Amino acid sequence: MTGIFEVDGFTWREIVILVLFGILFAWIASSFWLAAFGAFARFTKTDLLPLKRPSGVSAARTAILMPVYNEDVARVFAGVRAIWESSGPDFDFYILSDSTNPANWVAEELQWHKLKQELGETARIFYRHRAKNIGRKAGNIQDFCENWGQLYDYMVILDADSLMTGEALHKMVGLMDANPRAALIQAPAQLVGRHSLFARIQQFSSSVYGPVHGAGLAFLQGADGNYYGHNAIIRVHAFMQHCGLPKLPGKPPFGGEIMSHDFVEAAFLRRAGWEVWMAPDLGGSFEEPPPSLLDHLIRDRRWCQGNLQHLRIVFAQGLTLPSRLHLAMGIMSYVASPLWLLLLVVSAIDMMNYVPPEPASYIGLWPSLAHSVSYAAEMVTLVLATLVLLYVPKLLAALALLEDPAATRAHGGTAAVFRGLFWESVFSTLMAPIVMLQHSWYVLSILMGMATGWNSQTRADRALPWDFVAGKFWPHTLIGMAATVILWRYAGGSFNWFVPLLAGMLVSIPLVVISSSPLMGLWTRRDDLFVVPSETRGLAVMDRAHALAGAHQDLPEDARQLVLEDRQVRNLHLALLSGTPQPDVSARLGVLRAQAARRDTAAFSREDWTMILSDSEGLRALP
Amino acid sequence: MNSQSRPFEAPLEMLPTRAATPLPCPRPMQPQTITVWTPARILGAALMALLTVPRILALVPAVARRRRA
Repeated sequence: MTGIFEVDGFTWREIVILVLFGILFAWIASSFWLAAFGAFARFTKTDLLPLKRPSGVSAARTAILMPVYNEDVARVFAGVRAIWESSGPDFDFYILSDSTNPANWVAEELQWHKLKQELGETARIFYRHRAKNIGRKAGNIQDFCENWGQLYDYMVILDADSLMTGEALHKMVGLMDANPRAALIQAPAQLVGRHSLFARIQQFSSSVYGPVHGAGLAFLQGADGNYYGHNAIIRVHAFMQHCGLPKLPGKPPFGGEIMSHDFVEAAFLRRAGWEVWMAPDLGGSFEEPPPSLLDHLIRDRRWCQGNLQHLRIVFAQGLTLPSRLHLAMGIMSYVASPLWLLLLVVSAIDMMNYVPPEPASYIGLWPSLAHSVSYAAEMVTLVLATLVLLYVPKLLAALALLEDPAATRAHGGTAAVFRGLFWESVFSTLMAPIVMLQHSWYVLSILMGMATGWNSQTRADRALPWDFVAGKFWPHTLIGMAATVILWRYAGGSFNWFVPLLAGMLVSIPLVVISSSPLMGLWTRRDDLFVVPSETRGLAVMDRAHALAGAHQDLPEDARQLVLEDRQVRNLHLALLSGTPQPDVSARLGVLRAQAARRDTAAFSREDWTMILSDSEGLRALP
Repeated sequence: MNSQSRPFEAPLEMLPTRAATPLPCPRPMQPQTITVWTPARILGAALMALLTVPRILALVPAVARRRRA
C-alpha cells in the first residue's frame, strides 16, 4: 500500500490511511492467524488441555453460583433444576439474587421455595438476595466468597442463561483436583436454544467457527488463558486471595468499579502465578445468544464501556504479557469500529480529491507521453489479501468440521454446512457496517464521559415491530443514504468499492426486523439452513430446561402483593429477609405501612415496594 | 502457591427456620493493588503514537518532498 501511495509523494490523508490500515490489517490478521493455528491444532489432533487427568472420586466441595439480576425467574430456576438433575447431589447451588425489581425478588423466593419442596431437603439449593447490588456481578460473587467461600474448594460461575451438563461439571472438578496450580478452567460456552433467525445464525457461527477459534486460543495461550465471566470453575482460595477488585481512581466511565471484571480477575490470577486454562474440548457448556441484533448491540454497550475501561489497566504494573494481550484484544474489539469508520471516511475523501495524471507532458518543446504506472495488480492483491484474512478462517473452520462425519451430519450434511457458511457470510457482511456505526457511537459517547447502567438483558425470542426498529435504526439508514449520494456524485469509479458497506446501512431496518423473527428462524430450520447439533440431535439439559421453564410460567403476575395478602408467602419472605437491613424509620415508611395495612398499594412505586418488602418489623405487624 | 484445601471441613449448617443459605463464615477479600494509567496519560500516549508512527514508517520525508515541489 505504501508503494501505491508514494508514487507522487504522500499527503496527510494518505498517511492517516496508511496508519489506520496498518493497525486494522494487523487486527484482522491476528484473527486469521488465530483460526490458522486453531485449524492446525484440529487437523493434527493436538491435545489442547495438557493437564493431568483426574483419577478417583473427588472429595472436593464445589458450589455452583447463578448470579441473577432482574432475570426471567421461570427461566433461571428451570436452568438451575436442569443442571441439578444432570449433575446429581454432588454440588451446592446458590442463586445469588441482586434483583432490584421487587416483583422479581418475591417471585424468586416463591420459585426457590417451590423448587425445594419439589426436590426435597436433600437438594442443596440455596437462595440469597442482596438489598443493594454493590459492585454488580463481581460484587455479587465477592459477597458469596466473603460469606461462604471458605466452605468450598471450587466454585463454578454461571450466567442466568448458562447451562452445563453434570458430566462437564464433574470433569472440571476432576481436572482442578489433579492440577493444583490451576486456579481457573474456562469451558467455552456454545450458543444454543434460541429460534429467531439472528440467534440461529449466531448459533451456527458458534458451532462451526467456535471450535477452531477456541482451539487457536487454547493452542497459543496455554496456561495464560482468560476468563469470560461464566461457565468456568475457579479455585476459591486463589480467587479470594488475589481477585479482590480495586476501585479505579476517578469517575465512571473510566473510573469507579471495574465493569468487565472477568479479564481483570484472570490477569490478577496470572500475576500471582496461578494457571488459567481454557478447555475447548470439554463440551457440555452452553449459553443462549441474544435474540436479535438490537439486543446484541444493547449488550455490547455495556461490554464496550467495560472493555474501554481496560485502557487504564492494560499497562498496569505486574501483569503478564499474555494478560495484556487479552485486555488489548478486548479493547480493540470495540475501538476497531471507529478506526474502520475513520479509514473509510478519509479514504472516500481521498478518492474524491484524486486528480489523475495528465495524459501528456513536454520535455522541452517535445510532447512526451506520461510515464504510465499501473498499480492495479497491487490493489487487487491488497483486496484479495483482505478477503483472505476475513473469509478463509470461516473456510478453515468448515473444513475442520468436515473431518468429523458425525459432526457434519449433525450440522445437516456437507451441503448444509457450505450453504450456511455462504449465507452467514452474507449476513455478517451486511451486519458489519451497522455494528461499526453503533460501536463507533458507543466509543465516542464513552470518551465523552457518558456512562451506562447495567440493565438486565432481554433473552426471549420476539419479532421486533417495524416502527420500533425504525425508531432505533433510522440514523444508520440516513447515514447510508447520505453516503450513497455523496459517493455516487463525487467518488466516480471508486463507488463500487463502497457498495457492500452502503448496502448494510441501507437495509439496516429490514435486516434487524427480519432477522429478529422466530418465523424466519423456523423457515430456515425447515430448509436445513444454519442447522446445529442441539437441533438435530437434541440436548438433554437444554430440552429439560425449556420444558421446565414452560411449566413454570404459572408465576403470579404480581408476586409483591402476595406478601401482603398471603400469610404463608409473607412468612416465607420474612424468613428469607433475615440479615437484610431494616429500612430507617421515617415519615414515608409510616405512610407506606399504613397503606400496606389497608392493601392500598396501587400508587406504590418500585422504591416504595422495595422499602415495604425490606421492612420486616412492618410486615410482621400486618393484620 | 499450592492449592490449599478449604479452611472449614465442618458440614454446612442451615440457619434455623426456613432461611435459604448455610451459616455464613465471613472472611473479607482485600482489594488488589494496581497502578493504572490516568485518562490524560492514555490520551497522551495515543497522541504520541499518532505522531511517531508515521515517522517510524519513514513517511514524513515524502511529505516534505511534495511540499518543496
